Amino acid sequence: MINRRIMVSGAMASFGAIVFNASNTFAESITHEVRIKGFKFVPEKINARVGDKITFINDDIVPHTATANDESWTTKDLQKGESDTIEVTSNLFEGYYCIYHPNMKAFVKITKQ
Amino acid sequence: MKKLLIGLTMSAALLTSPVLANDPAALTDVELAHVAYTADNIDIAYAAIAMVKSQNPAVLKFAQSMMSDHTAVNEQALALLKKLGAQPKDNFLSQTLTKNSSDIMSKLSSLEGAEFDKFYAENELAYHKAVNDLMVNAFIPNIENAEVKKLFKAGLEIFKQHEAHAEKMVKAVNG
Repeated sequence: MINRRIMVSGAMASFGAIVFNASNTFAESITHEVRIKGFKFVPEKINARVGDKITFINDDIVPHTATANDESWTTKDLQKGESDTIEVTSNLFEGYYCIYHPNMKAFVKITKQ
Repeated sequence: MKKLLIGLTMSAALLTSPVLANDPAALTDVELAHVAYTADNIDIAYAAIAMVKSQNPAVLKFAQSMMSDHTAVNEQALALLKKLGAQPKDNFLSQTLTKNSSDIMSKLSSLEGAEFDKFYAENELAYHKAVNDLMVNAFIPNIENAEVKKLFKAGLEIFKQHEAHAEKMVKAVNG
């Protein structure tokens, strides 16, 4: 026979588990910031985990992009001051560059969760 | 080699000219702003032709970069002039650049294929070298307004990138 006390404590335990798991998941994914300045991606190499995000911010006066070397992902054209965010997926191509300035190269190292 | 000579001769002649009235180092800030705007527009025009005519990926990428970068620099220059309440002022150097550019435009219009790519690439390298030389030696040291000077210095860093990119493009079209 299920009494009310067991039901309530069961419900509370489940709720606690959900809250714990939700906050645990959110705490694990972070947003990395890559600034574009003087025709460079700063920092040039970052380590990121699947589920993280990368925000690219253009500090230059000319437009730039961050585009995968194999063109599989890209930000929009970033005018001066604009930013765009990419999500790190498990198959994200790691090397990237600016389509307008192919000398600008950088790298995302995807590390295990 | 004619196209290389156009850029370099112009630069050398202007820098060593004994005629003070035509001294690039004597240009005022508003005249220099006009020169910058003119030089940007010339490169945008060359790039527009390249984007229509060329099939070479290295040339097309470079031309796209020229269009977006020179447009951005122009926007900054015009915004700064507006902020300063000034108008760009026409001058002998803008007129020289414009006159020379019409010869280049005719040549670009008459060429096709690999010949076009080679001429465009070599002209871009010569043009950026000549303008960067003027920036370093004649313009930047003589600009009076601090904000104009800052913008020209930022422009120079961009155009140095262009020069390096143009060198790669020349290798790509000749290789």
